[in-house]
Amino acid sequence: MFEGVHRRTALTVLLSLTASLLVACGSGSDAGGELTAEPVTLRFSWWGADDRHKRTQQVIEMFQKKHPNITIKGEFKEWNGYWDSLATTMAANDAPDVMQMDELYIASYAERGALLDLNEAKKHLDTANFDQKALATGAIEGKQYGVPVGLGMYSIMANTDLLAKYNVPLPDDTKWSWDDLKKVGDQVSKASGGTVWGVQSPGINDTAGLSIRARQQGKALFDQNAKVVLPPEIATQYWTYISDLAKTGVAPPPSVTIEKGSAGLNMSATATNTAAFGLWWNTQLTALTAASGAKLKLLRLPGESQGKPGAYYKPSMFWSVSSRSKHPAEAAAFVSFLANDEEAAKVLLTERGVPANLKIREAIAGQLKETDKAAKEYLDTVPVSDPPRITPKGGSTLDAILKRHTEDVLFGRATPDAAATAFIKEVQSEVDAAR
Amino acid sequence: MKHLGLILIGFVMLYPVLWMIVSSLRPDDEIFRSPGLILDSLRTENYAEGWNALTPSFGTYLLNSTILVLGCIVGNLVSCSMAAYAFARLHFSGKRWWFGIMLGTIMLPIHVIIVPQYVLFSQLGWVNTFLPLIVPKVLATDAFFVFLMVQFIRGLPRELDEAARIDGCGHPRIFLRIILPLMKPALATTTIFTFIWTWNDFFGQLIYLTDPDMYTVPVALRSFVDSTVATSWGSQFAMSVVSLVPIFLAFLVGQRYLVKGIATTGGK
Repeated sequence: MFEGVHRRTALTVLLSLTASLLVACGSGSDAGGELTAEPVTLRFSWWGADDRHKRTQQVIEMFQKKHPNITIKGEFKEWNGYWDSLATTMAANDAPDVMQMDELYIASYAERGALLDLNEAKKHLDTANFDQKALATGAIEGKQYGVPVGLGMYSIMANTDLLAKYNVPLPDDTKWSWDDLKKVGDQVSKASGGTVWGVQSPGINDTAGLSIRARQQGKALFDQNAKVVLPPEIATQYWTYISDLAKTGVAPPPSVTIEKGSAGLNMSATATNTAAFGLWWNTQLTALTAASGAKLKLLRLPGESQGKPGAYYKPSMFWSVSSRSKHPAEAAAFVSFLANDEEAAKVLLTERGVPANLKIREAIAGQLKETDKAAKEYLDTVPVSDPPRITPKGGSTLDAILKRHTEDVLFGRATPDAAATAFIKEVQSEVDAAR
Repeated sequence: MKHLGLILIGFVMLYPVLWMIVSSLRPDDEIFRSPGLILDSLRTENYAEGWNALTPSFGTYLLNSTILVLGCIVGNLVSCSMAAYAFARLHFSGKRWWFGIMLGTIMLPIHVIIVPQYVLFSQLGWVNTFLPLIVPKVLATDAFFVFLMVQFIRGLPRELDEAARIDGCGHPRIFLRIILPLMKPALATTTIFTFIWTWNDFFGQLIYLTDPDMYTVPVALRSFVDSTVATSWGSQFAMSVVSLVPIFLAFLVGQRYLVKGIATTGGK
């Protein structure tokens, strides 16, 4: 999902097991039926950290007050454990009724029949206030498998305190290129005498960085048929750029980059004030500002004015309902509450990203912190193009594959050319294997 | 000179732990910006905040872990010692073969068996209870401890059994009166290792305990961290320190037996 996330690869085994066990089940549900007055218990599972657990538990209580016959059992996990546990419970036909889903996994679960097509539950689930482009990110071939919760956009975070300290002027982000980023980063690195780097090596942990490069040149990672259509030149160009940054001292040396990359947000170069520019999701502004204690400014991506705009809405996560839930109508009603209720939104605020529900986004605007407001404004104003195809089934290891090749390039074990060819081949075979 | 070297190496080994303790007393935003060990401000609120950061509070997790650990210890002590006695002293057909299979189970990674196991336990309705984690222990599934005790019993002189037999003891009494009292070091080793391993185990507890009211310490600790959002590291470190205390105490008390147990079983 975001920068700094490790991903499990071993679980593909479990996922394919899931597939074989799922064959027998259809939705065959009463998702369109009336809400029952009988007592019902729903299980609801999400990943996150302690702040999210608290807010979510509060919202669960609010829902239970409105629907006294429905009990929601909230189960919180952290990212890695969440997917381990979800794969196991899915395989055992014991999945939670409502779950938080990620873009990387949604196709893998949906195309194996594990998720309910929420269109069947339209009666209870209101999506009228969602931007159509945002809603489309949770749909596969016309079936709505997830309701996007929050939206994020890739952005450059500039540490203006550091720029002021080294007398480097803030670049004009409406027309800068990737080369401009390198140049201004170089100025910072030189001025600091090696204590602070210009740029935190961009996009080493997830494919968004690469995807944006491709989109700016009118290409994409996958086409609609889940075929890898990324031209190898673009991947070559991407890795050449990253390794140039490291070689010229604009970005930290590879060992530091890799270490920080896997250490999480609080330990990143941006959070520790050791890099002036970093590629981040705009919604991470608040967390990074808190961690760094410095002034951070959201800039548009470089290269957006030269080619086509590469920026797009990335759903931070989705609400999905299990296809085997015994109470799909009630589950849908709960999702609807999470997505549409203003009181609930005032508790959740932007913890899961700037809300994708436009009405809710305005409703909470007044309550937001300065940094959250800046993130919302970024989302409201920066131009975007259509979202890329959802990561196809079998693609949940995509980020891990990218990371491995990035490491090979950075440590000089592979040339950008060789990495590009190998990366494309490997991703294609993962996707083919899942068919 | 030798001591100085040892202290130095000891310090290097302990540095991460010391850093964790120091960090648990720091405000969140300072933890990764000042990597040294020197505290410039003391912040004990981390402990109170960490204790109440999740619902239910940390006391529940400590209690759950304690129940689980006690169950596993009793299960292992009773079942593994009986299994070990059988392997070491009884004659039955295919004994070597069964022993080999028993040892083979050590090599099965949990990921291979977790799904069928989960299906089984969920059919029994045991998910979200401690049963899936304790009941297998009662069936002597910890092959490591069975092996440890077999080795230990093999080291005991057979003459003792024979003397007891002449006095009219059957197997139950030989086991209870002769072997078990002599096995104390091995039992202590089993107790301590079961304690430490169960206390630290994460995967099984994560999979089987889904309701936050049933979470154990490792599962709860991990819920503090999410690499995608800001983590309250201070609280997490504080609770990590708290959860290390029982392990530390167990080791402190049991260290003597542990060394003895290993010295008397491993030498052969």
